[in-house]
Amino acid sequence: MIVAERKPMEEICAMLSPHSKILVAGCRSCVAICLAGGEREVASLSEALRLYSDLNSMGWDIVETTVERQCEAEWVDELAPMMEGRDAFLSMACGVGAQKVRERFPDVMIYPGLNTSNMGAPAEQGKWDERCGGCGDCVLHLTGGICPIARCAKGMLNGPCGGSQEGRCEISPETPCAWQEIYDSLKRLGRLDLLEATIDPKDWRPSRSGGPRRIVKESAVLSEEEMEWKR
Amino acid sequence: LVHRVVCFACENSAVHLIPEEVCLITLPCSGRVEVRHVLRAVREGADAVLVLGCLEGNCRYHIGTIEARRRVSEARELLVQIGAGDRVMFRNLAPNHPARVKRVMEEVNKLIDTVGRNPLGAKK
Repeated sequence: MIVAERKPMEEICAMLSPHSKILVAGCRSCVAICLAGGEREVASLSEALRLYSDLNSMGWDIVETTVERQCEAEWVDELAPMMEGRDAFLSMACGVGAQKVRERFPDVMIYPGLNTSNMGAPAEQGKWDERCGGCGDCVLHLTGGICPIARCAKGMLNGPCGGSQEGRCEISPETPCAWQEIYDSLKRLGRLDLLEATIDPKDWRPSRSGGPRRIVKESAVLSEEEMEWKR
Repeated sequence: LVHRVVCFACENSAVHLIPEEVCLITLPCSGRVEVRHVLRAVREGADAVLVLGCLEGNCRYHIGTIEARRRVSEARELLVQIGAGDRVMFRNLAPNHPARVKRVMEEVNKLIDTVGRNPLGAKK
């Protein structure tokens, strides 16, 4: 899931200050799970914005809604009736959702209500840990199921650096050393032999270094005729 | 001037002991209170919002008081961030705690003295 957190209220209020008719919209997917942009968070934020508006005579007219997924055009379409007459849209989805809304409603100013952080998973209630760096060239089969890209501060591919002390990373005593975890995992699996092999320098082209990425699954792509039929 | 206090209280806590001048909203469980309820009360002019739950571990629904405490702290964070001041309080009270209710009401008044009256109250 994509993990995000709400921007500070000061920043949100400053962004919205030139506007009067604002639509706040959440997303019931990842950001609802990480308690940042679901129905409940949208209700809290909208009420806080109304209160801020009353206290500071901003005259904001705040309307709120939450869609199933802001990252898919079909669900974004549902916003159309509420978008009428709005001069600002505050997206409580991840950066992907906010951009999909902009593509569908290019004449409305879009503001991000959240800071999108990473691809992670819940560790315990209220805590989410990063798990995947989206490098486009997965090596989990070589590293005992533990990602050295996302979980090692230096993204080391062949063992720990000198900052690994008693299983902890030098960046913080709370951060486990990914390579200690990789070693423990491979030992448990009886596959320490995997550590004998050198992992070649990584091809970073499928990662962010190659610019915006597009995945194409040819079998799912519609031909022009099929597109016409679907329309 | 009488302080405007809104109290969201679990029906199993000390609801019948809350003074008459407090705007009392009884809930089946304190865990039913949402952040937006607290903020709305402040927007309607409340000088302070008190959320009352049962004693810890006594919640009929097991986690109601934990949820309520969490939401009150979230509401407090939002109130402070938008400059409305910390004017929300969560307390655990049982129906047989008249002396403690009195103390809590004194704490509420002290909270209002510290944070000041709600400027929106005068407009209502």
